[in-house]
This record gives sequence, C-alpha cells and structure tokens, in this order.
Amino acid sequence: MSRPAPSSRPSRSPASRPPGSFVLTCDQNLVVTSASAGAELAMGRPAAELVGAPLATLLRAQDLSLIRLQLQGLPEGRVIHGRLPVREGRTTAVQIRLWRLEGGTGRRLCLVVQPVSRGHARRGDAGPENEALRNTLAALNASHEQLKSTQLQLIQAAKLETIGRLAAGVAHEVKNPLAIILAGSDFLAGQPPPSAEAAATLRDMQAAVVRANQVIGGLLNYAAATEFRPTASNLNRVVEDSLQLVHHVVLRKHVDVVKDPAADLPPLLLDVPKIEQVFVNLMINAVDAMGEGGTLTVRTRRTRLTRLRPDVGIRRTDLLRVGQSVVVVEFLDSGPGIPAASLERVFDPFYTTKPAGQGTGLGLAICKTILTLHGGTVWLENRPEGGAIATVVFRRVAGKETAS
Amino acid sequence: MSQPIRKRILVVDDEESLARILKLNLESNGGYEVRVENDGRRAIEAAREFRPDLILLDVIMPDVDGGQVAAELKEIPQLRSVPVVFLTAVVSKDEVRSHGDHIGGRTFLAKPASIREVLEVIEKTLAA
Repeated sequence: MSRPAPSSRPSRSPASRPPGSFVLTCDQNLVVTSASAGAELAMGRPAAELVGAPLATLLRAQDLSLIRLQLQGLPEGRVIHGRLPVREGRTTAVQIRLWRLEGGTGRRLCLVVQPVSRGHARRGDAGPENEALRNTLAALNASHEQLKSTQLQLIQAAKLETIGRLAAGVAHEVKNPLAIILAGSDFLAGQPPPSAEAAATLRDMQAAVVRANQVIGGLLNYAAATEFRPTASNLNRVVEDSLQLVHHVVLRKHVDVVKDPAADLPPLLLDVPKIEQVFVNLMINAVDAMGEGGTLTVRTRRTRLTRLRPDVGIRRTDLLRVGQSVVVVEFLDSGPGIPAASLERVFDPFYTTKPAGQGTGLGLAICKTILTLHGGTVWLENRPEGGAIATVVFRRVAGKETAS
Repeated sequence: MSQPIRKRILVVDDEESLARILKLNLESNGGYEVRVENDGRRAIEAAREFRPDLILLDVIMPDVDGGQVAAELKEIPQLRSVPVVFLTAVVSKDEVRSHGDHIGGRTFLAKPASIREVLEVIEKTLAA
C-alpha cells in the first residue's frame, strides 16, 4: 500500500477542494457551541461566527426538521441525507450523523457532517475528506471514551461515598455500646475484686474496647477517604513530600532510599493529602517488610499499560485499558516478598498479617479506594530478583495538560 | 460559706445504661452527687431543680439534642454559667486530643471514654 497512514494532525484541505467533514456541537436550543476547523472551510464562515449561531441559519429548514425529529428519541447515529448551504447560494450533498452528548450542562447534540461526493467517497477510499473524517471520528471516539470513563469514575465515586457514609454511621452506632462496656468495666474494676482472675479479665476487657475503638477509627478514616478533591499536581513533588513524612522511620530502620523520578511527567489530577496517605502506607509496609536495613527504591515513569491484573489490585477494567498511556509510581523493597496466599487478599478490608491490635487491616483497602477515586489502581507483586513491588497506576489527564 | 461538700453532676444521655453506669462511676470514684436524665427536654427541667455544678451532656439524642440543651441553658440566668462537657461519639479521640479538649470553645470527651478520662476532664473543668 502506497497510501500514507492517516495523519494524527487535523487535516485542512486547500480551499479549492470540496469541503471535508466537520463536527458541530450545539446546545438544547440548537445553537452552535463549537465548530471543528473543517466547518469554517465548508461553510465559508469564520469559526467565531459559527459559534453562537442558531443551527437554523446554517442548515436548510427540512434538514433541521429531521434533526429535531431525531432529538425526539430516534436512535442515535441515524444518518440524515441533507444538503449543506455553502458559498454563493450553492448547496452540497451531505450526510449528517447525530449524537447526543449527555452530562455536563443539559443535553447537547453533536453533528458529524460529511459531504457526499459522487463516486469514490462512498467506498471509504483515501482522499482529503476521508482523512478528515477519519480524524474527526477518531477525535469523536476519543472524547466519547473519555466521557464514558469519566462517567464511570463518577459512578464509582458516588458508590464509595455511600459506603463511606455507611461506615461513618456504623462507627458512630458502635461507639455507644463500647462506651457502656468501657464505663462498666471501669466501674467493676473499682470494686473489690472477687479474685485475681476477675481483675485480669476486666483489664483484658478494657484493652479490647480500646482495640475495637481503633478499628472504628480506621473505619472513619476509610469513610473520610471517600471524599475526593483533586487538583492538578506534580506527582514527583507528592512522592518527595511523602518520603519526607516517612523520613524518621526510614532512618530508624537504617533503610537506604533510592529515588528515580522521571523528568517528563505530565501533571495529574490528584487529591494530594490522600495520595500522600497512599504513598506513606505503601512505604511503611515496604520498610516493615524489610525489618532492619534494606533498600527502598521509589521511581516514577510514564508508560503504556501492558497488562491488567484481574485478581489482585484491580477489579474493574472500565477505567483502565491495556495500551492506555499511564503514569506509574513504583515502590520496590528488598524484603522477603509477600506470601502467595497474602497476595490474593492484601487489598481486602480487615485483612492483616500484623499481630492482633497492631493494625486494623484497612490500610491497603483505603489505598485502593483512594486510587479508584482517581481512576487509577495499585497492585502488589513479588519481584523475580526478590523483594516486593507496589505499583500505583494513574490515568493520564486527557486533553490539555494545564497544571501549575 | 454553705457550699455543699459534694459537687453535683447532671448526666444526660439517651443511652440509659451508659448514663446509669456513669452515675455509679462518678459516685464511687469521684465522690460526686449525680442525677441522670435520658432526654434533652427533661434535662433542662432537671437542671433547674438539681442546680448541678457541671453537666455531662450527650450530643446526639432524639427530639432535643445536646446542642439545643446547651443553647437553652445559656438562656436561663441561674444556669448560664454551669459548665457543660459534651460526651459524644461524633468526635474522635484524636480530634479531642489535638484540640486539648476544646473544640469551638466547648469541652469534649470522645466516646468510649474511660472513667479516668471522664474524671480528669470533670476535675479540670470544675477547677477552671
């Protein structure tokens, strides 16, 4: 094939050629809200003039009626065979495909307008119009995918918020019975003990209440983790600040820290305190696993997702796809690795390998919740060369990368 | 001065058994004279009669909650200056600790509180 591959640049045919396809979006009143570059060319009017123009001034009345009809609930993607008024009172045959854009402010409509030139165009051959069409469709598909995934993320966030509220409610309700048990055992402890065993039993009961209360505290933290306030952030800086937070632990355990930050990271939409919580948690786990000494390596990089882990660390594949451009943070330790049985369960709430009373088993569950809110994920695995690696995956922010 | 030897504490909590056990604790471990109410509305009436030196007040209660009780007490001249300690599950121990018992100018105890914690805060508040 000698035909060049479709370019990813927006295609602009010279003015002498027949107009290419283009995309218009409009609001529920059929007023144009945006026009792709091709529209300017096809309609012979500057884009600035197209935005804000009623669709009625751009299309023929009969085509507009069909569009209105379609808005009444006809299936999406129906093709309208119409004519587009172009320069000097002439019209050109076009196919108009309609898509409804839900979400955002009210219902909006997207029109993909494709000129029908006699002959080759129908066959999908090469040609500037088709290339433009391909680009347009690619752009449209990309934004549709983005929209879908954002919507999924919102649904996920809403679900988690419900769980969080539930957890907070349960925590509150459990504290009152705990208060009764604690006050009661305190009272009994003040009475002359019937035996040494009775006194010891009371002390155990008091300690148990304190422990139960710590679990409740963890649950409340989990609940708090379900609120999401992201800002455009520099991931390397968040990693650096998190390292500062564990500095004293790292020093005390004589752990060497190796930093390997990527220089070319795009800004990410992060809820910084929560992501710091995740990083601190993963680093403390790594340091705990190594005992005394060892090396903690923290690296960031941009990459493409080469696999999804269906069992560990990720349940939904809606938000992440193989091949997707992502940013990852990896925490590598030189400890003994994670037993296979634990690997399956580390992200389950209340799963812990620490002795009773020394951890609520909610740390990694909270980490996962926080990352799910970010449309990302985390997984844990053993390195072939020994030690474990925690990989945190963030989706790239689509569109313009505007961060401070 | 004819001040009573035993200080009086009004315990208000809709958890009847908690209020009752608190009373036992405060009487036997603190030497206080304690009256119990399980309902916000009755608490205000009880306060008028009992004239407590301190009120240990739950926050989340049906009908009239602890916040309303405290606000209404402020409107009653003889009770306006009676210190109130909120004993509640709506704050955590960490929050209370980080604020030195005082959140928004109010004294708080987080449930579940040990009798030692309760007595400490009561003694501190009465001494202030």
